[in-house]
Amino acid sequence: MNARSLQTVRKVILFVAGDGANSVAATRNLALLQRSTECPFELEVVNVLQQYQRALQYDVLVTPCLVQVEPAPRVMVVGTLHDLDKVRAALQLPPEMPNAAAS
Amino acid sequence: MAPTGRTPVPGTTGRATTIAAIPKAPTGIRGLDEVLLGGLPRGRATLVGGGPGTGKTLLGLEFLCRGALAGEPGLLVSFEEGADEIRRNARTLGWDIDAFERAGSLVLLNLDPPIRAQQTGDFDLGGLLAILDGRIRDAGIRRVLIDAVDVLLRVFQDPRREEDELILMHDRLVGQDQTVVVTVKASGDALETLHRLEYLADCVLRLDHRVVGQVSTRRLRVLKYRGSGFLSNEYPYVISEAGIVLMPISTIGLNRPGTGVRRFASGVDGLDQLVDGGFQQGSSILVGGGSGTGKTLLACTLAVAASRRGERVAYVTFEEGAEALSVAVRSAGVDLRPAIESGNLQLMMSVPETMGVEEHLWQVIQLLERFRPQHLVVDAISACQRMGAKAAAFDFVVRLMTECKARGITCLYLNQVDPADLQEVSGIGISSLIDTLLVLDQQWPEDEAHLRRLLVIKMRGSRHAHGWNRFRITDTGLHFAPGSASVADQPS
Repeated sequence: MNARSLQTVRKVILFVAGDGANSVAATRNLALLQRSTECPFELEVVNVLQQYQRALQYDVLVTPCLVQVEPAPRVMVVGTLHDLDKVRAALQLPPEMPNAAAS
Repeated sequence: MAPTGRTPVPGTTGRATTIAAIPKAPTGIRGLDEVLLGGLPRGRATLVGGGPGTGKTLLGLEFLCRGALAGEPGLLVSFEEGADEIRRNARTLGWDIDAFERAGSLVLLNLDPPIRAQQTGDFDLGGLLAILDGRIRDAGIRRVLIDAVDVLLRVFQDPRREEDELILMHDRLVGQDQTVVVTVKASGDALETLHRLEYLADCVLRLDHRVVGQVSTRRLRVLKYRGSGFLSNEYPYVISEAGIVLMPISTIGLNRPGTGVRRFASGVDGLDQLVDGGFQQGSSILVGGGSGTGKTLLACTLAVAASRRGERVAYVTFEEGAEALSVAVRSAGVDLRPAIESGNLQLMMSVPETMGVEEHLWQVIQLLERFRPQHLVVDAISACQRMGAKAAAFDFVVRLMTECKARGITCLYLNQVDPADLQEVSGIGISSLIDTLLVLDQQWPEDEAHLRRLLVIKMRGSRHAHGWNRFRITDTGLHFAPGSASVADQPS
């Protein structure tokens, strides 16, 4: 990923709780999103069961939860990220490229 | 207090069932532990529902602070009020939250539920549960307050999901042996959540705020308590500078003074021989009479005499200020100043209209606790009706009476009544609870001098005078004519 070439570095954190079904689905959907966008982002996955302080820092009460930390303002999308178009819209990513689809 | 041996008290329908052996966590809230027969269920969840301004958060906060003092660290999770707001509220009640926080005995978490976040696909309270687990583990938490849980649950927009998550959170906290208090608004959309939680919780308290007779009254009721008895009345409470205070009517004090009770001299010339040698310490005495019949003078004479014996007297007046009272009785030869200066007499001026019954009662009880008097004068109970309705006066008088009985304090109630109507002498229907009932009267016969007289209507356990007894008020006080008494042979 080459974030430095862009004017604003897009940073997102995916908060999951262990490896439950919702966590697995969210991780998979986010991977799909990464592959289907021309706009790269830095991704960090935080397991709240191991790092509750991080959840506290970002007011993450529900999981899975995707937080776009940069650019400001902070954006939050909760759930398994099932509807990728909704995620794109929330993060203000460009529309989907051809040949890529959400699961 | 013992749950057995209660006698029914007029105006109440409360009953106490047996204390079960389940472990309890005292709230430390005055009166509440009495109603809960010891406290909230330890290691279980209690639901506190109530409308805005009922003091739900305060109740929970006090529960945490008392726990912090007792070596049980607390965690406050708020979804509505900011941490600063909570600290400020606690400070007004004299709780130094900051000190608790520094000592690690109280942890405040103000969390913002993702109400405005985009939602796509399923999610659960994994983040919150992880935060709770982590904080409980790291800070050694024993008590948890989840404040305004209805605000959090709004993110689910689905009653069944709400319920699933509630059960999960409940089981997780209780599984870690936490004593939990959850507050929910009892209004609007939150009502549905409240009812679901009532089913889940082991103990359910309902707070309510309403206006009765133009005076606002807060009431608490225990709706359920699994595995334990509780007092099932509705209990009025006040939010005072000392936090939440309940004053459940105590029936301990209603035992009548038996024979062999200490009698004390009234200080009124010739009166003691009419009342079997003196009034009984710890009894309740009601003096009825019209305006200007000498009720206040009688009470002040008793107070001065008691003060000379080194006894303390609390004098609550609803009619006039301390100075006005002092001046009024001085002209009749009763000087309150030495009693006040010696510290044996404390006057408390109160305006009935300014507060409800609970606030008044709390003020007087605080005076009783601070000052520890042997005698209390209330001048006059007829004014108590101005605290709200007629029922308010009854409530005030009866509950104050039980508080005094429990402490062995003599209660001297003055009551301004129409002298023509002796049946109405107790005015607000308390005569059956009164040990000694006196009436003062005055008349202006055409061919005679101004006639003042006293009637002892009843005096429990005493051989008292029957019939009217004449007395005079001079510049040296009240004087009963010697030999005017017609003393009964049998105690009444």
